[in-house]
Amino acid sequence: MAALAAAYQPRRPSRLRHVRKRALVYAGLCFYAFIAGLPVYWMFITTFKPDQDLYNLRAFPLFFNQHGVTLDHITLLFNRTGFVVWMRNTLVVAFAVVLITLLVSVPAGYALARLRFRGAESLTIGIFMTYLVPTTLLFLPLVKVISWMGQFDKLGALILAYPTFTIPFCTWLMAGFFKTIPFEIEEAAMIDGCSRLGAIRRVILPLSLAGMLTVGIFAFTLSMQDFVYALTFVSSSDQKVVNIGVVTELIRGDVFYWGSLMAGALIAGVPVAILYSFFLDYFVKGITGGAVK
Amino acid sequence: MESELNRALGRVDMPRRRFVRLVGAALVGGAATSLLAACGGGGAAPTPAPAKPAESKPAEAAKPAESKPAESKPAEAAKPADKPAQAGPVAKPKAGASLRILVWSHFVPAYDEWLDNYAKQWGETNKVEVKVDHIRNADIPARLAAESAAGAGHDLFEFQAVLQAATYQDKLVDLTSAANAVGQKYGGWTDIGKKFGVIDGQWKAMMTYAILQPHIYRKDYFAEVGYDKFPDDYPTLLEASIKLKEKDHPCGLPLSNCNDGNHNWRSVLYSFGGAEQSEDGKKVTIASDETLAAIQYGVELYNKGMTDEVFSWDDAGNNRFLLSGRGSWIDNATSAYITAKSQAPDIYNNSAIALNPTGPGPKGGRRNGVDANAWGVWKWANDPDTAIAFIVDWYDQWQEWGKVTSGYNSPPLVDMWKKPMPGLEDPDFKIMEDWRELSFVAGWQGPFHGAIEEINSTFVMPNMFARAVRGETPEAAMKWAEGEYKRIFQQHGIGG
Repeated sequence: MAALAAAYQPRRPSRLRHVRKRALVYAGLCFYAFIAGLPVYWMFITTFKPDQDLYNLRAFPLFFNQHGVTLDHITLLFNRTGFVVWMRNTLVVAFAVVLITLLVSVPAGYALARLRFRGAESLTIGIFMTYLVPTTLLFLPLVKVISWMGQFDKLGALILAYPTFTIPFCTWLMAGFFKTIPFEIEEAAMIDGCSRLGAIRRVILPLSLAGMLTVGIFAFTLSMQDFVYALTFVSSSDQKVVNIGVVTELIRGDVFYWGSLMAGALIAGVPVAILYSFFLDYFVKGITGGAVK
Repeated sequence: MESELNRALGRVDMPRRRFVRLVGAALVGGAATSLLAACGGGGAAPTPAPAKPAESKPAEAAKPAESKPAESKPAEAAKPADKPAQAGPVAKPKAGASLRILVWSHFVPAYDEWLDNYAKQWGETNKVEVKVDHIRNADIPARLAAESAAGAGHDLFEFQAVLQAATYQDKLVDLTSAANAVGQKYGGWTDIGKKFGVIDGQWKAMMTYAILQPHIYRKDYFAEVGYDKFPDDYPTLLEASIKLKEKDHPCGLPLSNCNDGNHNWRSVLYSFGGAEQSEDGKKVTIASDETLAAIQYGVELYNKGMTDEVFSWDDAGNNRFLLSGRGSWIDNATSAYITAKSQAPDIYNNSAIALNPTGPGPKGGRRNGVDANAWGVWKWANDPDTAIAFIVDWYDQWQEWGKVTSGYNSPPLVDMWKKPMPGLEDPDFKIMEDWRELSFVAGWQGPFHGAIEEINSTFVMPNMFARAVRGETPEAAMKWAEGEYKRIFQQHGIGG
């Protein structure tokens, strides 16, 4: 009987099983990290690799090879192109777009989530649907508007155009986030004497910080990713943003300046990487805020 | 769970909320400042206009052409070629005007530097504010589409390889007088120069230069398989390519939707005697025994001499192929060869450029499909006369741009082909002095009209060869191409 009882005792997880489980988890994470990090590593190594090694098929591409390391590509990028100006322009546009997007999408999202008017739900979906229209279809009609506003070939063109795709997405995101905040909190503030605007300012906005940061990061990233508007609305060298500048001046006919292209992409990616890593917790909270409503 | 942010802030004794507020305030402040600055033009201070702009009389050349129907008439397009060039009134630059120019980022960076400096000096001399913008060649069509829709942007621009003079004919200034004047000064336009950009008898674009496409080959690899020079005819080239592939040195012509695919396979087709259309440009002639022979040759060359990577190539694919050290020969502009000089000296020392081989058969010959660029002036240009005056003066600098590009810019006017040609002093490039008679643009044997523009930009030519290579019969591939040609011709109001 005692033997039977011993045989049917609940099994405690053994140390081996624990290690095996952890190993599997870490193997999966390592694989994902490898896939995600490879392009960045590739950019890094190409930035510092001499052309002779870059074009040598016999050289192992993931390490530095026989000709060692060079700074020529970075020198070319900074001394022979307008990279610094392009970076400045990119940041100017990105911050301006973040500002406009927040100013519009936060109140719009609040209205869609809180103000009970007929068709609010459909309108929310409709706003999001406009985000799905590709820029390749929109750039031709939009260029007429931009031209009419006197902003063609100026950074203003991008600052006006980018919110057309950041605002719909961010409004939808904010509407979802506002729905996660219990209405009772806002109601309590109003019972305590706050007006609706006062309740928004004192209660809702502080609670929505994660959502607003997420929206800001999204708007920043989306405005750095665009290619079509940047290409078609701006062509002066001193008005280009970085994603267009490096491509237009470092691809000459059928010759690609790979080292400098990768250096440009790597350096341009740094602000976004910092932004993401710094606000990662807020970002996760913001993006998943509406998911469990 | 404490976030990384919290940990970071904890080290500097700053509460998270305060930090976020600070960052938010900085973002808002920075963005507001930058928004104001950006909407004013990004801080680029405009050059002040001269105090007293001189009066200028619009020359005839600058008069916008009357609106024409969208379809092009190829028969008329050929007219200027038949007439002797007449000197017309050449426009004068208007002091105080501005001139914005859009060109591609030239393969030879020295040319861009030269052009920027030259434009600046020209502007100072003529009291015109000149600005030159450079963009990637592949992005020019999208940019032109945007400018056309906006009715704004640059005044003068350069079509690169993808000529769209027929597409934008109603929006382009008639350059006939300027073309005639330049033609008369330099002994007339070359055959391809006369065909390029002439729509309904009007010069809507003026060819700037052609980009020749020699065969670039590895001398050492060819020597290994018993050839001391590049084969002079296509059958011998096939034999050599088979031997080279056996030694793991395949050749490569792009079978993809890229510009190199367009002109590489046109070289094969034309050399075999296959023509796309009749001389008057009214009849599609792509379905012929010569085309069939060219396709059969292409299939054999692919099967025995190439690898399947050619299906994925963009315009840089063949350059990379040569620079990798694996490829035995490609058909490309001299860019691949010149680039090797700095990026892969070993490969450069073992490479050379060669004439296009001769095709077989009674209609066969040595014919090279080339790219060409052309100037165009928008009707909404700040001052069309100023743009035209700049163009005319630019042709006078042909020795300069020939030199700085080492002959990459191949001139469009007869007298500019007198030997020795500027930029071709290097013995390696000498053979390019004989290229005038070998150069053909898309649409041979007829003019480069709107339908050919569309056929070229939709890559019908490389797709015809690719279909056969992928398993269709050569007859079926040719029939498909003929259908495409006829459909596009009819869309453009040409019989087909």
